[in-house]
Amino acid sequence: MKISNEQYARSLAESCLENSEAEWPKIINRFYSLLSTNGDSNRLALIIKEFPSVYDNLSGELTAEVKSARKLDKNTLERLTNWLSAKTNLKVTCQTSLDETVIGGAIVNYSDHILDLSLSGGLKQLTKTLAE
Amino acid sequence: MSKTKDFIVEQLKSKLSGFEQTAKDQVVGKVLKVADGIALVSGLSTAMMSEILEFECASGVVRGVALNLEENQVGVIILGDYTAIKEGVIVKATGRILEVPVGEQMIGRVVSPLGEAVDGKGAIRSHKFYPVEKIAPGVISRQSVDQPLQTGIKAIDSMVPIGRGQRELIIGDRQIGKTAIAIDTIINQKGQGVKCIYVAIGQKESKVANIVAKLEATGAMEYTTIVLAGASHPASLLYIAPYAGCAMAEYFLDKGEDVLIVYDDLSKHANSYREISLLLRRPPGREAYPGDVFYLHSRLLERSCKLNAEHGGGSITALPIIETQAGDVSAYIPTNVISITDGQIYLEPDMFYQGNRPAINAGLSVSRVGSSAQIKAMKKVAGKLRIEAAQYRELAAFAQFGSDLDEDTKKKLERGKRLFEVFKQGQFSPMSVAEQVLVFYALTAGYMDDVEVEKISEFEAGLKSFVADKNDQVVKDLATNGKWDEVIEKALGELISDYKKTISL
Repeated sequence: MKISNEQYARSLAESCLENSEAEWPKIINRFYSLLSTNGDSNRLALIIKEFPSVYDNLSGELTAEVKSARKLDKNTLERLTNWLSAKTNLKVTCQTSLDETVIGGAIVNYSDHILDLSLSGGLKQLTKTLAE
Repeated sequence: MSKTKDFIVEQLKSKLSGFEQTAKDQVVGKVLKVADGIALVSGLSTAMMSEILEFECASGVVRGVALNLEENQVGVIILGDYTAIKEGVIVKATGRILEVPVGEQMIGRVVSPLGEAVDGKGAIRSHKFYPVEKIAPGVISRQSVDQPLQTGIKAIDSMVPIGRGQRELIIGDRQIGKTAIAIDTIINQKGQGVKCIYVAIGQKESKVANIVAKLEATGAMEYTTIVLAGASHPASLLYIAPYAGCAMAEYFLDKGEDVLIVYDDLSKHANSYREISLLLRRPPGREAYPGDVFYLHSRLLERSCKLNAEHGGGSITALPIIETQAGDVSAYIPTNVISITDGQIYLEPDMFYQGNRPAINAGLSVSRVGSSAQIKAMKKVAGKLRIEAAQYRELAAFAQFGSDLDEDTKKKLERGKRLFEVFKQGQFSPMSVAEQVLVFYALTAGYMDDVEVEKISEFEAGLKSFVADKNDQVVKDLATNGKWDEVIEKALGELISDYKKTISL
């Protein structure tokens, strides 16, 4: 039976979470040899892509990407993190990035959701409303 | 003047003041793979079956429909140009099931399966939308078919009558007159209070252009909508076209009106669904069609119905068309659709090439609703025509081998020859039911027995114009109430005898 990238990522994440951090190098080495035995070494890049979201899911963590036009202050970021934690019941970590096209406000990206709190999004909505 | 200016400014201000920005939490996914009009998308954990999804491409938004919901990915059919979609493109869930605009604005227009105008007459602005997929009306809201839908084609109205709310399949090989029957039926609905929808699935656009031109020339576009999914369109549009057409018909059904819908043709529809299913990696079955190809057509044709008075009394009559290969009606799709519909009109190549047009095979064509969809007068004059036509064809084949025939057989053969002459009818020349009753009475009562077979069509045309000139009340009553009794029979007999006196046989 063919093992999917997601299944590989899940097995690695589960093994890591079940063991202490000291064991992780050994687990990773065993994982490499498993991939090579199965002839799936070429899929490593795709497995690495899947791994963060799978790990977050299993550990009850969530990484949210926050895009804004200007750097957000500590207070705003903390409020946003707390609000997301309350909404998802997960431990949230925010990764920020700058994007001038956002104009104002922020766009929050977490798991398969997008929360558009930006000015550019608002302008798009206004254009749509006027066109109707 | 300044008052008008102020008014416009106020209107603009009120539009702006009414605007409120909302922060929507949208479910999104990313394109993993895209090919041949199909996309595999990750994420979209809350996507619904048949939900509209929006692909945010560089060139604009492209829409798609969720068709395969799997554990980690969603299979989407793309309704438009899929070449603009690249791997990694963001896909947004809209939370809306696929729907099309409906309403009076659609009448007289040629539209795409998504309800967008394709006839160059400007955009269609409709505020009413109906879902493309809908569960058919239940048992409680239905009633049996009891009202005729006149096709204007003598062979059909007499032998295989169609009722309002019936599903009658038109089946036959290519280039044999299947579409012609459907178009003639649409033309004949003028003034009958029936809205018509013609769904072209995988047809050549030149053919559809000809149909539109013909319908416009005959004034039939005043009550007709054409849903066009041409041969060059992607399989996804061909797949949704009949459901979209049916949704447009359901709007009128809900208003208590009668609708005629033509699906031309369901063989190509099944092919497009096979293409989509194979690309979505669903397991192939017989003739490589997926396992649910029966449900594909049954759920579509079940939406045609006759509602009872408590539910508005409207109806949707469906004329699905199936193209056979070398007359093989026992192939997978033809047998499926035959079993779903309430009868079929089988067009035979041999008859077509012998010059019998429409080439309706009397033996294999049936209408399961039958005579309850006929007016009394037609029932009376045409009751035995189907059996007579079938018997004639058998006898004609038998008579080729011997010349010694008894009187009765000879008589049957002569009557049969005249019957088949009467059944011949030109394209785009539908006939009113009163004229049909008159012609069939002339035949069955023996008034045509002394007319030469070659002169039957001439006799028929002459009789029609003679009666039209006379403007006879009996014929007018036939058209309005359809009653039949001895007085009417006698009056018609006298009319035909009077006509015969004016011609030299």
